Amino acid sequence: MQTYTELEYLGLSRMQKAWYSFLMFWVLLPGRLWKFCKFIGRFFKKCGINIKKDWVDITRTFKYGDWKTKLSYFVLGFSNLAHGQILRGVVFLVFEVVFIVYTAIWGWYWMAKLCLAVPESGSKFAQTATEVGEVCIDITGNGDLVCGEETIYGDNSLQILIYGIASIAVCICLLITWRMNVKQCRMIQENLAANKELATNKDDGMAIIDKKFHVTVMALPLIGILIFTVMPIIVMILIAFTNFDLGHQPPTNIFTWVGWDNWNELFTWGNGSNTFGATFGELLAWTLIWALFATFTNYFLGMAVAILINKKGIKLKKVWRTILVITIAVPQFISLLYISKIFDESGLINGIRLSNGNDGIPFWTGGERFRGLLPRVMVIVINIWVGVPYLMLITTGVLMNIPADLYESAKIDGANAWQMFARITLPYMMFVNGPYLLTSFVSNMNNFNVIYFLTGGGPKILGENAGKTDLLVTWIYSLTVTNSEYYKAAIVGILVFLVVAVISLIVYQILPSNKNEEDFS
Amino acid sequence: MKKFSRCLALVGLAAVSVGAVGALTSCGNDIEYEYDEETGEIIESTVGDGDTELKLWCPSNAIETTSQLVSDFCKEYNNFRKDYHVRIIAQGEGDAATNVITDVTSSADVFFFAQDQLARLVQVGALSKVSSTYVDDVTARNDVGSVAAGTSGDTLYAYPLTSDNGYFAFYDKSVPGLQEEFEREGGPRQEELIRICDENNKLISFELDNSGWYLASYFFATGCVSEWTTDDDGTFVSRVDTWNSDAGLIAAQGAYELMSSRIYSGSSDAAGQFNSNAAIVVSGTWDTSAVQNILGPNMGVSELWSFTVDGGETYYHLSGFSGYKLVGVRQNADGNLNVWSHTLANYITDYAGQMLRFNELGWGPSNLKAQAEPEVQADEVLSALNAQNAYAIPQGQFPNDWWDVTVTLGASIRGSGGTEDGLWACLETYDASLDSILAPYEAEYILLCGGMNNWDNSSAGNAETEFLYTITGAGSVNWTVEVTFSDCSTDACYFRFIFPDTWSYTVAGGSALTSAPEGFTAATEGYDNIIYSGVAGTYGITLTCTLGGDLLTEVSNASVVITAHSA
Repeated sequence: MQTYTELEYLGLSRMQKAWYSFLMFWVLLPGRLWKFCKFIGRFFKKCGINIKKDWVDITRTFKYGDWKTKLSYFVLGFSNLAHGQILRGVVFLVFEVVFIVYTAIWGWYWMAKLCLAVPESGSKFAQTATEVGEVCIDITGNGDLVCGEETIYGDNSLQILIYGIASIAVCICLLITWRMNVKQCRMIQENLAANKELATNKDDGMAIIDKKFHVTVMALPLIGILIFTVMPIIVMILIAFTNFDLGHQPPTNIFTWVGWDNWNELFTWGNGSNTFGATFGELLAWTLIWALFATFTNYFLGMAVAILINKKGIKLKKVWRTILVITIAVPQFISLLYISKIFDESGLINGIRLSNGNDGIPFWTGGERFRGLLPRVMVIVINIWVGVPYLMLITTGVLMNIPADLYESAKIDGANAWQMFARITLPYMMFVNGPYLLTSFVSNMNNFNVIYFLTGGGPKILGENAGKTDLLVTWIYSLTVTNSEYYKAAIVGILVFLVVAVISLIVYQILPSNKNEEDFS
Repeated sequence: MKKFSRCLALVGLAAVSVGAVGALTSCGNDIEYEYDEETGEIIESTVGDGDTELKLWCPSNAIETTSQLVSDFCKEYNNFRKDYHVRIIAQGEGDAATNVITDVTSSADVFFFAQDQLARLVQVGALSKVSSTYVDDVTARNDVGSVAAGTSGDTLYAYPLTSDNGYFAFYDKSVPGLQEEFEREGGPRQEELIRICDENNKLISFELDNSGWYLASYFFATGCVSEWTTDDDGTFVSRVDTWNSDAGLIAAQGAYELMSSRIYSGSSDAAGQFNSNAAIVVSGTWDTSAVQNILGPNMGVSELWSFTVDGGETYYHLSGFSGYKLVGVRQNADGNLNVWSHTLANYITDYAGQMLRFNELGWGPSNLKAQAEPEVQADEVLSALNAQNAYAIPQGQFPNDWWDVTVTLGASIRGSGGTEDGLWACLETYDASLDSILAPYEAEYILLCGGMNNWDNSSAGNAETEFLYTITGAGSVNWTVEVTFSDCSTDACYFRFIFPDTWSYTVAGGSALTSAPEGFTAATEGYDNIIYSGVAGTYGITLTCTLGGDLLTEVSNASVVITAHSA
């Protein structure tokens, strides 16, 4: 393909420019992907180098360290304690003691059980199965036995998974602490050798609320994120590699690792009896189409409404805005359920048509021709109705911020209304709202409410309890809540994350707000 | 004192909270109700004042009757009253199972649920078997269908509560011509109903395109079957499903005729449908009072209708499921609590409880004695249901996925365009989906041989005739074999059957030889060899195999003639 210099490029017509950029995107794509791979490669290389450096540092500290340092390798914080840094030393030591006690009593058990072996495997740490035994008790007190069952619950695989991961996390924490401890030893020895003074306990205490105040403040949120966000994500990812479904559901049944079998199921296509892969493909395509339409129709129509209302000469501006904003005041799910009923087979519109002797329109079931197309168009159109007021508000603010002198000078230069929109308004809006569009695209991919309340995902003709208007996220809902297919839902969840991450990274790279930060400031 | 303090706490809570819940009416009585502040409905009640809590889930409209029964139960069992109190919480039968499955250990000890959830509950291991103390009585006092509904494999897992969970037609008598059609000699007809509703611009609401439960009415009507069997653990082991057949095509055509008419609405929300524009809604007893409120004296109830295809003479009366509601007891680590739960579940599902619910709520009893009561027999809605039940089949166990697959089938029939090719495609997709629910098993085969004098296979005319069948699945098969011997003295002729030894079989007619005659070659290892002396006649063979998968129906049609020759 012919490449142009910048000057040549500027000489092209608008259509040619667009076509050229489009082609260039694909031409450059392999190079970019390669760069990305190299980036990942470099990242791991860097990790490797760092680990090696650490290792060298650790061995050298041990080799050249005095006996206190050497002992610190086993009794954490000993060096600090020996040199009077009680506060640091005690923290290290307490952490070690807590770790040893925790691991001895609980941690090793959970980690050993983490292999999730089934009882038949003969493994020493296999999970125990739930047992149900009959018990007969004289409950009435008159000598008649009444029988029932007593359940001795076995291992809860989900609990094992969660606690096992937590225990491993604790081990990693110890490793990090130990590394910090080694660094401390080295620092103490170097400082002593250089005749520098060591930080006193008072210094340490002050640092917490002064120099290192950021650490103190951030500690709690960080721990919160690790426990409540990162841990569940790790557990969810791991569930995708187990057979956690209806028949293997704790506490009465156990589940176990199945490796990549689940993923094979997903990527086995076209085989009549296996619809998981095919359904996923169809729903992914529709989810992307939906997100694209839902984001951009709302954005441009919202902007159009905002421009209309903003226009000089329009009277009662506040009234128009208020009318639109009132729709926001009604909870979204109520208006959605209401609209869903209006377009129902027995709803208002079809009721009127029917009593006039006309045929009903299958808004939600799609009818015979264009299966699923009508409901899909319907949800997109109704989403416009629901979403435009928000966008009107957002864009109004930005529109008012565009310097009026830009328009004035454009007018003097003889620009028409369209040229002003295309050259001033739109670039400015895109610059400011680019990141918003991106997040809105992502949140539309996961727009549960609109789909669930309007169609419930129907018409359900795809198999695996999925319908034509189901997004991946509403499918996850039916997979877990109705079908108890947790591992499938986990797989879909992971894939949704990957898709969202890849799209976000690519789009973010080409956003003007990311590229030319100075443009409009 | 204790009760007083709890009352005080609750009153305090009600006074302090601005939330929806809180008001408390009676402290003196042993039943304490809690109301939803907005709707005034009862959402919870507590009976008894012991320390240990027994949690019970039932639909909100049944809380009062259940509380009454539990209160009687407390009076009868003083030991229970001393140590336990029962908290009765509103929970619809439809969602109960899902909520139990989501978290077994914190769910209710006793709960009402609809029978389609049984297999799922058993599979998860949520249900405790019906107490061996009560099982015989429960089996004897309830109708056969309801006991089957609570059974997985050979084990009874739940206490039958009602026998009214089937569907029939509600209609609006004020629509001209509709009542006459429903009261037609020989039952109403689909094309007529469509015509009447079309003329009056009124809807026929039947949830065919969104629910296999309703769609099955067409398929069972034409003689199609879908039978699934579970073992004791709730796992599905076999199926016989003939929906993908000529009869299935007729059913699909019948369903398509209704679904493609302009007055069709795919819903079973009776109240909503009658409120908008419906003339006929297919639904069940749970909607009776709602429909009564809307239609008043114009409410008509009837069995379902018949349909025909291509203007033919043969009419198929819609079938369906006669469904049941059950009471389940969850597995419990506390043996005492479990025993009490069973005792309570048994108590509230007994005759007195069923009559109370019939009188207060109109629930149709599963109890045989209650069914025979004159007031039950006279009930208009229950008789419509009974009339329909004569055509319906008792709902057995179906895998959860089957309900999804049938939803897909209904929706795709609706969109098929109604051509034979289109409908066949729907049925074939359905059939293929069944394989993903329960994989067919194709390993064993049956070998049938005609044997003869001295078993000399080398001489011409003496060769064994082999009939090789691949059987995919489990179940039992009846097979009639006509054995004809020509020219053969009694003790010189033999024939034999060879079956995989994992199968069990009986042969009617004649008796097998205990030891093989001289010259017989033994059957291969893994196979059983039964040898008969040659007496001409007809032998009925019943095979039962326990493998898993689909049953090949061709086998049952096979008729094999074995002709043996003289030496």
